[in-house]
Amino acid sequence: MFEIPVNVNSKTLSNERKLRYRYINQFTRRFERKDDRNGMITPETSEDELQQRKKRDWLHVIGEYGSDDDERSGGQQDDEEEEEEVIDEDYNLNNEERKFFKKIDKPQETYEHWPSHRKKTRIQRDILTYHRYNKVSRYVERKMANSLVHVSSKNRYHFKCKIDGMEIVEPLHKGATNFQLKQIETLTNLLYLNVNRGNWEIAYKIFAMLIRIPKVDIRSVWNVGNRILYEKDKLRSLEFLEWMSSVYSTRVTFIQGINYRFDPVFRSGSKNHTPKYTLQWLWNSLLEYTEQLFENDDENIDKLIDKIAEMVLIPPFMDDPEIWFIYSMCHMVKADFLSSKFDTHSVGSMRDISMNQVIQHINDVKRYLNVCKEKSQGQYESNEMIITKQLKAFEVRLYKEPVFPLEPENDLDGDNEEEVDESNVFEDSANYFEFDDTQEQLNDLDTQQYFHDTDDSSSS
Amino acid sequence: MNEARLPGRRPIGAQLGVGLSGPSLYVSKSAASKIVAVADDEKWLHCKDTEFPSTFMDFKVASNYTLVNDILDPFEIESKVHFPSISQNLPADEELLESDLSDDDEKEGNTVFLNEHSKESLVSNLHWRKPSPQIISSDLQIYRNTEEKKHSMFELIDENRSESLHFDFVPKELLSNLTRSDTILEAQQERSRKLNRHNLSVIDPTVKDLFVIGNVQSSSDLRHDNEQRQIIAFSTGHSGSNLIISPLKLEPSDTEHDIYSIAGCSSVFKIDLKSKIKTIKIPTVASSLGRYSDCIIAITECSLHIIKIKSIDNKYTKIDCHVFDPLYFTELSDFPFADVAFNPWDLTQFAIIDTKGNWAIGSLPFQNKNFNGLILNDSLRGSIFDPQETSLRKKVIWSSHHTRILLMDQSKIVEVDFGLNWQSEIVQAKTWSELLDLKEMNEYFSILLTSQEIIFLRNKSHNNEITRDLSWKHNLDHNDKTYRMFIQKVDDGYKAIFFVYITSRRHKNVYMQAFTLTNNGELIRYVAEPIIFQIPQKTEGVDSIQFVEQSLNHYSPEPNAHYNINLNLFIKGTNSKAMTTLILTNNKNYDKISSYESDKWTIEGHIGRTEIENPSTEITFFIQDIVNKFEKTLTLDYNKDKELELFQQFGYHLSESMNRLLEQWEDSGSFCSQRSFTELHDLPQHFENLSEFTSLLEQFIQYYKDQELLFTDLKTISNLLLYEEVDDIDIIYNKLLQCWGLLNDDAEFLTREIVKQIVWTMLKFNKKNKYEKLSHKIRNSLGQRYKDTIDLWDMNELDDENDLEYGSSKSTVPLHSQSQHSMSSQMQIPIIKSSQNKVAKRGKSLNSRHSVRVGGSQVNTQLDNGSMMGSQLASSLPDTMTPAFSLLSAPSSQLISQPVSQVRDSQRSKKKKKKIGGFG
Repeated sequence: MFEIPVNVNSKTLSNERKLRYRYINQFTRRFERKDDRNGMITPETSEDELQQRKKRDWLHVIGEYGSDDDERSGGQQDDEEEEEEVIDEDYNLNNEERKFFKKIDKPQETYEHWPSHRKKTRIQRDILTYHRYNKVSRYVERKMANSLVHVSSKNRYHFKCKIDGMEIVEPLHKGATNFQLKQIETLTNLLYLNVNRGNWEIAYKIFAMLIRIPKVDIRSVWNVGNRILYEKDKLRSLEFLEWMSSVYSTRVTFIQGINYRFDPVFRSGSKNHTPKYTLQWLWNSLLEYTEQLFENDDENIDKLIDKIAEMVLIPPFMDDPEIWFIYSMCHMVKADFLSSKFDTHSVGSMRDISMNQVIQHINDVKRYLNVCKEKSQGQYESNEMIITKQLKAFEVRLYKEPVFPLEPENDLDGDNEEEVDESNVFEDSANYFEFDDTQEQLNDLDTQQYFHDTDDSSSS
Repeated sequence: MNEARLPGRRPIGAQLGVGLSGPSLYVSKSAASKIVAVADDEKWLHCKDTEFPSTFMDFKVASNYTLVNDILDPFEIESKVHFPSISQNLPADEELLESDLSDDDEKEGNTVFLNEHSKESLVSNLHWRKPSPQIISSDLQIYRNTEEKKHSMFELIDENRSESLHFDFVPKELLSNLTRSDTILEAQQERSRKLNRHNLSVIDPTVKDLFVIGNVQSSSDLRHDNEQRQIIAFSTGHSGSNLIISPLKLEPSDTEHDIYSIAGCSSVFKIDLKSKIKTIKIPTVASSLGRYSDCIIAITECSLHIIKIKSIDNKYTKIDCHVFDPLYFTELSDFPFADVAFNPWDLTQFAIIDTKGNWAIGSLPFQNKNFNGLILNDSLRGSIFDPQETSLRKKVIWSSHHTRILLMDQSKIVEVDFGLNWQSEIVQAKTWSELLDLKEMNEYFSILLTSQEIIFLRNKSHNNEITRDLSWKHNLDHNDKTYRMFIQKVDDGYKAIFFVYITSRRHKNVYMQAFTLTNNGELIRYVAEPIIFQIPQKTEGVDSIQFVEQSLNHYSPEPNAHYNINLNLFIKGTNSKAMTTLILTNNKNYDKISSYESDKWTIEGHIGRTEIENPSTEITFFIQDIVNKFEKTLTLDYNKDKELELFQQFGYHLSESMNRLLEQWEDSGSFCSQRSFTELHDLPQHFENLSEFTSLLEQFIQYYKDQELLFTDLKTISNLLLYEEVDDIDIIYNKLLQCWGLLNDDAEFLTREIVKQIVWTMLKFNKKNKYEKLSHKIRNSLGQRYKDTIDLWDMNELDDENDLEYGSSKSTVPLHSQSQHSMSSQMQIPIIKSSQNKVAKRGKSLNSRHSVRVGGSQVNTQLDNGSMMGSQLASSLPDTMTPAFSLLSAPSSQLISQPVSQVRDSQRSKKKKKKIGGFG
């Protein structure tokens, strides 16, 4: 029922693929070729050809003309060409699959190709007729006859169903052929069932057993392992993900020309694809360390920030907007924590230092969000509005009167009226001027605007 | 206020799965709690909706009952028999069996009591497997080819109807021990095996829902301001070409969950579409229109049918429909239709796609015109045919705009704007996944099922493009192309829960995952880890699941209780036409499967009662019956010594009642129908000595044969059961025990009881001369030509008899030696095994039985040869008889004396001599 983490290969399966891609390639070529020919002007028939056609017509009348040969109306020349091609293909029978995939873009981020900029074309108005389809398919079926002779009857039946567009309920490769595979199958099914039912202890044991089988690639099931470990011990799951990220290299380049049996989407990384386990590790660590931070343990989150700072210097992380987003989120958490801890009663350099810290983090958030935006070319959904509003609120905390706790919704509405309210909070101009020194660091116009406004109102 | 979305890269969105949490957004509690809907203790906006209690997804199968039975056409079968519903409260032994037939019916008699279907459904539901193929002779077939309907033995008379409903006796233990069918299903498989040797079952991916449940609101409803009606539409008939539309009613019930039923036969709308139905659909209408559709679409192999519901009676008694002329596929191109979708903003416009990807926009005809057919627009058509794609799987749904449609084949989705004349490819899946299903979810989202993920497509993003918003990796085997996806929406005030079910035809496990969507369509998240449940029906896979509209119960006083929901699922399995209802619940108090469904077997219509029995009712009924019978016998004290006495008494009573009956027959003088032994007298409560029983019956039969009575031959019974002609009940018993002995510890007891009951119910008798009179009368009424023919038959019979006499007299001498030889070759080894078993258990009774067996079988040989010469092809007798002279009987009969039935044995030995004399 579930996907097994090994690559099952058998003669039946490879034959099936071979047949399928061969058929598709043949069909596509024939189909498109007909297209071209339709567009060209028909050349005038020569005397010779007319004679031949006459002869053929007569034979047809007598009934000696084979129905199969009907399709040859394209002319002998074409047939010769095709024969050559066929010989060529027999050599490259194994490459049919490669040939098919050559033109197809292999995405790394998703299983399917999701174009970010869609081309709009005119509606394809030509309706496929049975006549045309039948012509092509009969031709291709004749071409396929040779390769069908040597495959098993099961393959043949399967192939016939496939090209008729039907689905076969039973799997072509029926179950396990050896005990190891059988074991893997059983364990995988049990693993998913127990995870879905929340039997984490059993799932843990199964997972431990499964990954010790030599063939099993842990990269195919790491997410389940992560989930199980997370239930058992959150920190262990982080260690596991960290281990995954350090062991499996991202320095390989993803070559479009190779046919990968496994998809790289969740499994692996490359020079331009951040592996999902690394992202998962960063997210999980951030979530976990946030909790720790608010229990006054800021050691880990600082380490995480340092780690990401290192990571963003090398590919693929430096070009991945999500890494930058995580980076900015780290600073945001930090800013929130420090600003909420900020003691408005404090004076002197202590106050300045802690204030600068908060503002530093706020600026970092903004800076990295901008990088994220750049890297994704505006395609990253980062909820900038909400983040900016929150950052504003963090900043406000630095200046608020301890006596009047600030209502969060007031500053969120962002109305004028609210700013008037705010003006009361910033009566102490000394604060403002102190702040002014550090203001150069602020890039964001919003914040500047905000404080200019308050300046005006307080001076007036 | 603009609500937050999940962060993530745009064309991809959040990629989730088990252990894959995806990006989150930090939400400071004090700063932003009003902007973003997160729970109080959360600092992050997760992809997981943490608002739900952790037990929310603990769904269990709570109950299931049958909505429509597994019969070809539930509204055609005139079911005269009503199987009473069984409830625990009834006194089990007496009230159980009752006949609802009126007296008039009873006099008519000859009601076909057991229709072929209910037998089939019984057998298929039993899922018999050959317990041990080596033991049973290869030609033993338990139910197939018995043709019991035509057999005179099964013609029952009315008085004892309640006693012998069925002739298939199935012990309860057998039911639970046996899991697979070896009869009906196997027969089907055998047929398909001839077609393809590998036994692969092929399905057409364009065959989708063969039953739908949905809401309709006809124009008259709109005028009268009536609410929408819930209806069910499904295909029936031998070829699946009949479409039935019926109102679906919510039964008033006092249980916690809802009970649905469909109306009786008078209130359904039925139409024969002349071709196999592939898909039935009820169009969805945009919520902004504030109404429901009034059409039902059916795609058959060759045409598209649209049925407009004009009105539904307020009392649900009549559906009035208008059927448009069908649209044949030749109108579009040369390939059959694959899918159709109605424009949600325009109830008269639809888009259709054929199996190769040719599509067109069509519309319903205008009213007040003579033309009644569906019209395809000549200019609005095109094709998405891809030469690299071989599958027939095609889908069409409406996109975010009233001129945009989404067309899907197995490797791509194309959005077409036929108003602005452009098309663009949204996704191409040729590498690692295949697109399997595409469904409209609501106005904001469509859901796409691929072989790897469940993907939510946002219809209206910032630039009116379709974007991939969230995906869930389901980890299901990507080689299985038979997955189908079903979406159930449950409304909860400010957010909607969407349950996504993934079913397969390979197995009956259903994958279920829940997602929530806020009311403004911004934030979509998952609820918890998915669950997998198995549907309790006996089926190979799941065809389709349908739902009724449901919402969370907000009025529950308990905290968190409004998250307790009962989900009503209507399920149709593969290879069956039955539709069953399944109730999933996450209510913890709901531990047991409710007992309600055992009462709810019959569906009653308003006018005229149409009983649709659940096949398993009959089985339950059966089991109850058998258990009662067994319990009765078990409760009595059994005394072996008194058995002889018991038999004597029984024999006395039997002959007494027989005499009484004969007198009655003499008095009445008219033709008397066949009677069963059960009428005469009940079987004695408990006895073990079956051979004694045999000899009693033999004597009885022999005595009354002289009085010109005809009896059922025991051999006929054994022939039906074992495909062998055995005339000793004890041997039948032993043979059956060989099959069943392995299954159960109590097999001896059960088998004996079963054999007893079978024999007793199957033994029939009739007065010979009454038949002769009748046949005389009939013969005289015939013309000369027919008379000659019948005379010819008699001639043949005589010839046979001559041959037979000649043959048998010739082979008398070698017969015994011959059989001695053949028995060793024919008898199978396990017989020895079973006899040893018995030696260990019942030392004494064995002796008598074996001895009697030898005697008994020989007596019968004699009887048959003597009196029933003409009726049997006796030349085959020595062969078929051989098993009767079994290995085990030969040595034991010599060694052991006969303590019990000495008297009779002496009689028998006399007969034996007689017989030898006869042959000589």
